[in-house]
Amino acid sequence: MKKAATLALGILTSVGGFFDVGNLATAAQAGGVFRLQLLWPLLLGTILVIFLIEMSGRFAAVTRQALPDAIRTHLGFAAWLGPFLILSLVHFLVLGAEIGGICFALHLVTGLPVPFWALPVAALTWLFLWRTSFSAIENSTSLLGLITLAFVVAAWQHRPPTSQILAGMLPTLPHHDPARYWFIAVSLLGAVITPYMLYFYSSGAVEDKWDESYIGVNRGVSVIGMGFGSLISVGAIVVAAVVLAPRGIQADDYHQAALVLTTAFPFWGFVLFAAAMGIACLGAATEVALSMAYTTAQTYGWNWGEDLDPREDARFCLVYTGAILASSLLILFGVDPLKLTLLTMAVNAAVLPFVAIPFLLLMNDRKLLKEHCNGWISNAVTLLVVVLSIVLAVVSIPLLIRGGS
Amino acid sequence: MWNIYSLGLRPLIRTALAAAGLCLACSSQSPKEKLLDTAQTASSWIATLRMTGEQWGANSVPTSFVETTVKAARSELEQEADEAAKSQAPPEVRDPFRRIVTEARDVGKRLSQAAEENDRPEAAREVGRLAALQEQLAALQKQNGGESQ
Amino acid sequence: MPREKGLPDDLELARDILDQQVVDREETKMGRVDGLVLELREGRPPRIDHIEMGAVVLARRLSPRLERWVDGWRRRFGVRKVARYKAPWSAVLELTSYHLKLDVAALDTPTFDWERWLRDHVIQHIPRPLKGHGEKEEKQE
Repeated sequence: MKKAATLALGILTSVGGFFDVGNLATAAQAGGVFRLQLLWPLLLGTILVIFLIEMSGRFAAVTRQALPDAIRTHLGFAAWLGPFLILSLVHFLVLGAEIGGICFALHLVTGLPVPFWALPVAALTWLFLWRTSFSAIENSTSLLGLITLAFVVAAWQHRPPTSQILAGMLPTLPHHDPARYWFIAVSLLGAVITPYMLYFYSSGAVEDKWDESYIGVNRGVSVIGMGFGSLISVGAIVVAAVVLAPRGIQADDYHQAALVLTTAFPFWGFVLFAAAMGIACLGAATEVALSMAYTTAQTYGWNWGEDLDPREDARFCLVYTGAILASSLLILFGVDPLKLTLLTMAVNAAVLPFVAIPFLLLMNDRKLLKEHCNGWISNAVTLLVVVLSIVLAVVSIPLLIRGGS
Repeated sequence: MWNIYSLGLRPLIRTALAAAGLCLACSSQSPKEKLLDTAQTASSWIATLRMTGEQWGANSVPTSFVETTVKAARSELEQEADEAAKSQAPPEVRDPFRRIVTEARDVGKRLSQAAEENDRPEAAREVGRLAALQEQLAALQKQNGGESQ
Repeated sequence: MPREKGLPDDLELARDILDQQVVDREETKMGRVDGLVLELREGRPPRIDHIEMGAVVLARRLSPRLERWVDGWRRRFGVRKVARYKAPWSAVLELTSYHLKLDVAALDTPTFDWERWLRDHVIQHIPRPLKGHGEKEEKQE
């Protein structure tokens, strides 16, 4: 019975927690400029991330170790240092983008400028982490995050042609703007396969004290949770394709994206958008800040755990406090939240090889995982992620230099 | 011991940078093409202003949203007007484009004022003007072989 | 020394001991095995003398210059009194695939200097959160 409840809650939280600022920004861009043609990176990304998340949870359930912990222990400090520094950079950028998203949602509701909200939002995020336990954070923000299902409902109301949706699931070459097409495709992938999530998920499993008996639950959560979660992104692409694209609006700014729900839900659409954006980003911001603290504490072997009294893991608390403060400065000093998000998602995709290779090495370690080692399918998928992300990195770096706009 | 640094990342980075440079060199556009790209963004912002005005009229977005969107659109359109002013594109493309963008900025300002004063008929008129400007810009893009979506 | 069943007999120094999580008697995580010091004995195989912990030890593994830099930084701004905490191998209580347990109390070692400093100078001045407290009481029941 307890397993069934864990499974249900796990699925709900991963659906509610799936959607964040990266998915929102990339989906609005993709739909606004290329209508339904860019559904395929989302589909591909979802399949790949299901495998990666399943592996990350299985690893934690079998070894009772989170990934950063295990990589440093078994591959050594020198092998872990590079991926660790890269992950820290990614955490910093993603956290900035999420905080920017919350600030923008508040800007929509109040009309006050985005930078004005940077410090209050940082304080709110911090207070949330300081006061509550891990499961309370995960459950409350993720369940509230189900409000993002509004995108699916809106997409359903617009009834887009099924044939076009199916056609969009197959990769095709762009009819116009190839540079932009590939940049958005890379960003969509980076938004679905966020490197921090792989590492965060395993730390969460350790916090929830998973053991081998959770392997089945883990499989269900990753397949069903991630699968349904990505439906929300599909919904967001569809509404952007139906609402923005025919009007010639390209969603280069969150003000433009904010209009997507207004036609499906007159009056409430605007409020729903602001609420969905604010809650999804708050949930993600707490996750990213925690993830940064987990990764750092595990790297140096400090005491860690969101359920501990801060007096028992002062350094762990210091890391998330510092991360939140530093990232909010990006927004305070006027970095455009949408541009920051798109840049971050492309960086996410580009750094995947560095974080996926050590992960792949561990997943094949018989000494650690025994009969729960990766099978050939999981290995093939991870290798595909590595190869794909190397190709994408080579594609996205020049596009990044050109500004990606 | 196995070490990630022994892979030698320096040549990889050098290759990536070279590839990036190559791409930049290949993708140099003519001034006219560049201007048409700018026109695409401008057109998107004019459409945004129009939809915002329409949705305000339908009570679907608050007045503060109109104000902030107009502010964002005006600063974007100003950048595009500046780019057009500096552009080497032929005057028969450049000048009408500059006129449309400048006018759109003014219409945006009036839309924002109308929303502030809750003047619905005036806001509807501005929405109509934005629609006209959008059409003019699309026609200009089409004449010059640009893509209009 | 009691060992976990799953742990193989052929322990590898670099793979299984170096970089392993170190915990104290109460299983509080106190750091990692940042360095291993061997004692060379004539006519007999070398033996692990002690383990070393500390950022300076870690920096040394990357480059001696970095070590000097980190140590200078520690001297100027650090609250940690000694750069390297050395624990003799005889203090090891348990070695498993996921931790190495030392017969010490983390709070009494230099590895917790920063933790203690933060607690006394920062955490103490912020209102206490709700979590942690209640759960501990639950455990004791």
